[in-house]
Amino acid sequence: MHVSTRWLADYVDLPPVVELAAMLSVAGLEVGSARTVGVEPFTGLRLDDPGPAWDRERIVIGRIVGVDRHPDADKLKLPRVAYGNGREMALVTGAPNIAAGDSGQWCVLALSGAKVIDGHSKEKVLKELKPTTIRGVPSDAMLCSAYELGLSEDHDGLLFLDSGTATEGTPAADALGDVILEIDILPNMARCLALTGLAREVAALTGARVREPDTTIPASAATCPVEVVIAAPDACRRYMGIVIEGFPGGVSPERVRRLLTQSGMRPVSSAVDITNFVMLEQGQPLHAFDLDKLEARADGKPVAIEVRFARAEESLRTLDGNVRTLNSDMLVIADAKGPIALAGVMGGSETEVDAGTRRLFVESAQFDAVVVRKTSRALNLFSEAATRYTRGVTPVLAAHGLGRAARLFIERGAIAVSAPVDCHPVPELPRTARYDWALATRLAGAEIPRDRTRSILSALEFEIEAEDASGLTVRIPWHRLDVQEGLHDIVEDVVRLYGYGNLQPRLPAEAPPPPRVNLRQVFEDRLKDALAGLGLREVISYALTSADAERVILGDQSDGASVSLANPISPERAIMRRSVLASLVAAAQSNAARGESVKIFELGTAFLPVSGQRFPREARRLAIALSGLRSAESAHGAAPAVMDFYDLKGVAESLLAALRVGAVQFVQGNHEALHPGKQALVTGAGGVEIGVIGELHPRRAVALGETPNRILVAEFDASVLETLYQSTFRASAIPRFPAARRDLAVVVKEACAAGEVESILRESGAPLLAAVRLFDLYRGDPLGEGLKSLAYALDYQALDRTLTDKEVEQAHTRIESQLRTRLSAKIRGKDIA
Amino acid sequence: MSDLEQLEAQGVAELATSSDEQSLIAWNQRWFGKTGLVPLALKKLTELPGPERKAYGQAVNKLKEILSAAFAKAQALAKERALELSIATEQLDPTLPGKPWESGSLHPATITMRRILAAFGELGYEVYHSREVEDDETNFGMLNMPPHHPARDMWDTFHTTDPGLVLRTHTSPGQIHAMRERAPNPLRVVLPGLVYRYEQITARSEIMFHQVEGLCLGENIGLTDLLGTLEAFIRRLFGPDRKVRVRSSYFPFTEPSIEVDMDCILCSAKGCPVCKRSGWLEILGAGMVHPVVLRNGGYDPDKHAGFAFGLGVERINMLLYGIEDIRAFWSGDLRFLRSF
Ligand SMILES: [Zn+2]
Repeated sequence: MHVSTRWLADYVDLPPVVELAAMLSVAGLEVGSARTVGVEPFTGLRLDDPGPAWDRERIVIGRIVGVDRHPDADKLKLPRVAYGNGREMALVTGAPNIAAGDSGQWCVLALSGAKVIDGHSKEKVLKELKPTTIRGVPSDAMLCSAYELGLSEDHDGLLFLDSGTATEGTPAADALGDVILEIDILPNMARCLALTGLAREVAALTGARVREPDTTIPASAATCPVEVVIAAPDACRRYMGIVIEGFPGGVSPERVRRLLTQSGMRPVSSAVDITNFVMLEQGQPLHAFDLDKLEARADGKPVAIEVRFARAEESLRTLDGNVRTLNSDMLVIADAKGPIALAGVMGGSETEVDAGTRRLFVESAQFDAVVVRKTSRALNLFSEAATRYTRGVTPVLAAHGLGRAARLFIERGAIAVSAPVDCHPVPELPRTARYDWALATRLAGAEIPRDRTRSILSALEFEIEAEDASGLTVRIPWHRLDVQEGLHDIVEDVVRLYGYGNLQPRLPAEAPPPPRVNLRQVFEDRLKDALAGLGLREVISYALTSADAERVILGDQSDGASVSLANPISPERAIMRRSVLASLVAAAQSNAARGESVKIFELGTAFLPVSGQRFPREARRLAIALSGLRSAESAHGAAPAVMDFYDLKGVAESLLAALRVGAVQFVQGNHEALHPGKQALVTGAGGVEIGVIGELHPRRAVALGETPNRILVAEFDASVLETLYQSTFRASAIPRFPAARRDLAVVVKEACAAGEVESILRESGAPLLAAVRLFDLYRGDPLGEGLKSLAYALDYQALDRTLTDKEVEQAHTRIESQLRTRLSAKIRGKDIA
Repeated sequence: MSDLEQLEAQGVAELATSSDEQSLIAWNQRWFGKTGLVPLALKKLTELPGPERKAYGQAVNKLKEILSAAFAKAQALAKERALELSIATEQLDPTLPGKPWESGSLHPATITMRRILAAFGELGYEVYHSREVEDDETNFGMLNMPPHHPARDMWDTFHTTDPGLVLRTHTSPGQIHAMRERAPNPLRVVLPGLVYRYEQITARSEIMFHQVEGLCLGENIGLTDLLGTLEAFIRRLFGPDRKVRVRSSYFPFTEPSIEVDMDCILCSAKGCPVCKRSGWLEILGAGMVHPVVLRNGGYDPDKHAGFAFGLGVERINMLLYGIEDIRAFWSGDLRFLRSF
């Protein structure tokens, strides 16, 4: 909410503005920023878009004492302006709203040397006034428009002030200057959507007194000629109205228009401005109908209006000119012919107040917050009135708003007002609450002195009705709709004004519950550390994606079920992802396309709908992607290799080893998104599937976009890994006896998998074979077509003794013979050269 | 001079001219090899008559010892000279770049989340995870926001096509899950995770971010316990000298509600654009758990009380690392990620 501090000061004395802003912020009314109007900028607050500061010597209040004709130009006029201490200034103006012979208008005079906004420039720039001569007549000053002062966008003529605004020669900054605070009004502070409400808060904080305007309804012998029926008493707890007769219309005084403008509202006409002024001041939304138009619709019968829900097929043209189709959830004000206003949201254009309106029916009502909110949302129609109703308006306020408005109509020239009509089926009862000392102390965690509590409560207008040993019974002020949950709300108020800074922080004295370790968190930390340790970088991608983006991994399954958003911000972010890998390959592609060497991983959630279940399965998935050079190019040594399947497998092996996932096997896989010849399915103990690794299928990669090198990807089910993860284990001891190394080169058929050779090595070498390392793979002469040689380094070792040559030889021979019989292998150096 | 004396003089003289390793090996071969001069001299022993043999044998042994010692000395000298030469000539350019040895890294969200969880871990809080696709009732209703409550406007919500199912707008629904699982026992949990907001993606606003929520319930937990806990947390995370300011605020699920600021670390509280010129940075939202929420979680508000607090991880990271564009976090761009 934009709050003019000049206006607020009508209701309560204010401390300096920076102090005020800090005080309000701490008390729950956060001042985000401020805007200066005419006054010097200051520090301590963020200033948004400050207007020009008006030179106190050179921009002053003046009074026109006479206007002469320009001898040579019909459009130009020569006003003479008095600006204090007997000084007078003659100048030239072309403004349309002044004529020869005028006098007495109050205005803002800018003397040469002053800086004002250039009215002739398209952009808002400051210009400095210099003495000039216009068509032969010297002009050393100018009269300002509201635009030139930065007061509004009004450009049409000179700014004329209400008489009594200030005396001649007063610096304009003192007379018109303002600081507008931007205050964030949270739902529990809805009472501060009114200046009087805000003034009460300031008063409670500073100890000042509130200056309440007179809001009593003026006495009148004339009964209100408009009949009112509330047909939906749950949605409208009070409906008041009053008839205004003989209103002269016209525009509002300058000050009213200025304050409305500074508060973010557009001045319209004297009548509409009064309703808006009262809403901003009191918080009570009002609506004014043209009574003549209502009577015309009534065809000579008395005007009878009803507050009811709309009927099917009904519609209403609202003030903004749009025809709204209504439904039965929407509350309307209707006469015999149909709806004339959307209750609490916006009036109808047919009964709108216009320049010729002299007789009005002014509504001041309470409408239900939920009903107004639903209507406003359904029609996407938001107004200041709706904002206030959706936050809650008490029925008590209707009378205050109506009284204040009636008085302003009289002040602005209305001849008569009627007595009010007041439909108030169930009047509000005074509400009381109990303030229990012990409970308050428990909630605050500290004892707030009782005297201080009493004085805070009375500053907030909580009346103490009774007091006993255990606490107070207080009457809740009528304007405090937010006080619901008795004690908690009131303690909040007491602490807020006592000052959080006056509470002594402490740590809970109670012992914490027995500690429990979140094993998923421990596991995921370990997993991420392991991958970062292997040189991979962690990525986090949007969990929101699209079916098209997931096709790279999911293929045709991408058209299947997903958690879809009803209100996506864009088609690219319309569903919850089902594949973490799909997100990661997109990141890999965009990095790789830039020529980066890519080594990344993501541990995230895939959202998998489960038929027949309300919630999707939120599956934790680990994705890995590699592409490009193994390390960056450098001046040292040979060019680094491009990463291939075996780099990825190395990462996977190291990761699984770090997590101590035992019995891991890599077997030929058949994942559709992976190259059919370059992929493996990874299994753990008992053949449980852990994940897949491989090269992204070249056809799928094409759809993703060009990359200099192929992309290698892996996806693991993190929850399966978590079950296989061994967080406790025994460390390896340092062997006390040396190992004996024997090399073994085996020649086998090309189709024979290395994994098969190795498992035979391990099986037949047990228990003395301690380590197996493949160090060479060779094809070609003299092996011949279809054969390959695998050279292994084998370590033989026992924990309790140094092995003899004979023992080693025996074990080695057993391995060789097993290889010969089970794989028809030849041992190089023995069976062949 | 006897033959042997002459031999000795010759050996020593030859050794003196053999300064490098190569010629030393040749010398050793010539003198001590299988057919070397020393073994040859020893062979002569058999040709001598008996009485002379003893003296000759001793003399040959002496020769052998002298030459061996001289050889060892020459060898050591040669080694030393070679080392000296290599040290004097080996010189590289220390300004050449090192060989690439790129490390891996964790995402800043992980790094900061761990610090936050660790700080609360020290205060006795357990990590608790809960779902991201949540029902409207748990995300709002149970948190004291019945349908059409105006406070719902504080959270712009992604709705799914399944009516009543939303992307959680905050980690707070996790409070309900944790409470229902543990009621009526005392509870201290922190709930980390991703939350979602229906927003336009700009440099300052995102549709997805990390939050951490904390909840502490017991029989005698008051506002001052909340203040102490948050002050301890802020000082653990941002340094022991941080000042803390508490502002009154509003959340439907807490009452009283507060916001906790700390003095701006970017401008030393002098006022800068990040702290909106106020010198204070907003770090946490918190409050005493609302009685309605306690009841919904299975706790009796007459017996139990507690506090809750929440903070946004990305916001803190933007402060800690001077990140001006929030979109960097989910970009997956290595040029950003390499900073960490
Ligand atoms: Zn700052």
